[in-house]
Amino acid sequence: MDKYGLAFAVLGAILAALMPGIASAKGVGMVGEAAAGVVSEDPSKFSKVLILQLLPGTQGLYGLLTAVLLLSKIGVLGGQPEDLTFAKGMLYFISCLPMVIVGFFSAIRQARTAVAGVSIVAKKPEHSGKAITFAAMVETYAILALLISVLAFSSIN
Amino acid sequence: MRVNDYDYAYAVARIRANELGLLTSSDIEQLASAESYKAALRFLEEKGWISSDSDDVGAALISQTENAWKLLREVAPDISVLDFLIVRHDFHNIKAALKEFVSAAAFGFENFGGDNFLTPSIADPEQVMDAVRNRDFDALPDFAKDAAAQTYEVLIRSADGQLADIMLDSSALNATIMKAETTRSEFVRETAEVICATANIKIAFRAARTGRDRQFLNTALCDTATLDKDALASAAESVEQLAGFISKTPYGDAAELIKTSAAALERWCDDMLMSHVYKARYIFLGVEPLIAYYIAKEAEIKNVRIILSCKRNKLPSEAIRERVRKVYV
Repeated sequence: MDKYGLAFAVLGAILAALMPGIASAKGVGMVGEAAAGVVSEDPSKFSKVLILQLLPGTQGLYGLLTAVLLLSKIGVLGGQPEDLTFAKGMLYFISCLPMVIVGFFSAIRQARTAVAGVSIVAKKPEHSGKAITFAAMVETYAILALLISVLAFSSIN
Repeated sequence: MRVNDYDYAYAVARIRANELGLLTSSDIEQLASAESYKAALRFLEEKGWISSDSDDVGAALISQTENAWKLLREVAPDISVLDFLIVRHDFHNIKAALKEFVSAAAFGFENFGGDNFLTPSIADPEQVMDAVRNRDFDALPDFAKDAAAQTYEVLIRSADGQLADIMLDSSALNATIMKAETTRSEFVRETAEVICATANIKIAFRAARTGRDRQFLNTALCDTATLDKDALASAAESVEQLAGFISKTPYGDAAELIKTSAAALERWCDDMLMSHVYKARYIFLGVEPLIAYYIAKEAEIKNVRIILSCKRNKLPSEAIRERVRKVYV
């Protein structure tokens, strides 16, 4: 079983990059569609809706960061992978789960909030700051997930 | 075509941006308070509703509806979900074409015009004209071909224009429900239900006031989920009975109005539909804002028509305010 230790650790890193990345792509695309709807009617609102479009993209970056840090820690990036036991590999895998799960769902929910924010910008552009704040609130949980994932696998010896 | 709520992101954003162009309640108030008909026209000109070089206000109002539908066609992922909103125009067009055709035949005219057609419609008015001219009702859309053929028979055999009217009006309501049921949207079905149930109430009210028989009601009323057709037809024997029946239904607020005036009831029915679509203001992904926009546009056009008509007849502003409908924004 020990030969699977490294495989589980790498799987955790891949999922951490993959799942939030997929959700971010979907979210940024969705908000982009809504933003295009507003800009096609009023191009002057481009900068306001662009910020909203960027917000759901951060989960993909956090996932990438988690994956890079973990791959670096287990030596895969340096070309000298550690010989991990099954238990240790599983620990690395489990430590990635907060980023995998929270990153995925928070990107989708943030995109929905940002789409609602685009409607605020469409009708009341002077309140775009509030729209951005609403969407940014969802970001908190993606950041917390990133923190716990990185802290968890950093403390595995 | 399978469409999910996410596919409406672009459409809803475009609609939200266009909602800025709808007349607000303060615009309607300003229009109602205009000093004269000309002042009201000037206000509409400022709002971009009519152009200064055109004096055909009717055409300007028609183009407002057409432009709203054009926008919806452009942005909606699947426009057929919204067909229930305009299917009644198709039945109106069939009615107009049939009546013109029968009149033209009776008076020996070779051509008939089709000036009374409504747009937007699902079937092209030209297609309706051709189908009626050639008596080829199979060329009409499926939802209308049987009703058109039956109405044609009635017009030819009995020349009963009123029966033809109620047959097609009832078919239009049934088609509205049927079109709504083919969608997977609960909001679409609820909206169609409100449209048809309030139409039934108005029909029953007019029937009660004019003493129409049960056979008329059986033909004119459509089947709805929230108002039992047979019970409504039975109650429509008198205004008091009808008010009593309506008071026990979800449309209970209309009961008092039934006893007072037809205009108040008409207004309540329009406001009821508007209240129903208000919830779309808080929906950001889905078909709801598109439906609400079209209904809002129709209500807005109705308000402008009412106000201009009142101004033309020099009615006081208070009388106008009593007649105007709820607005969406």
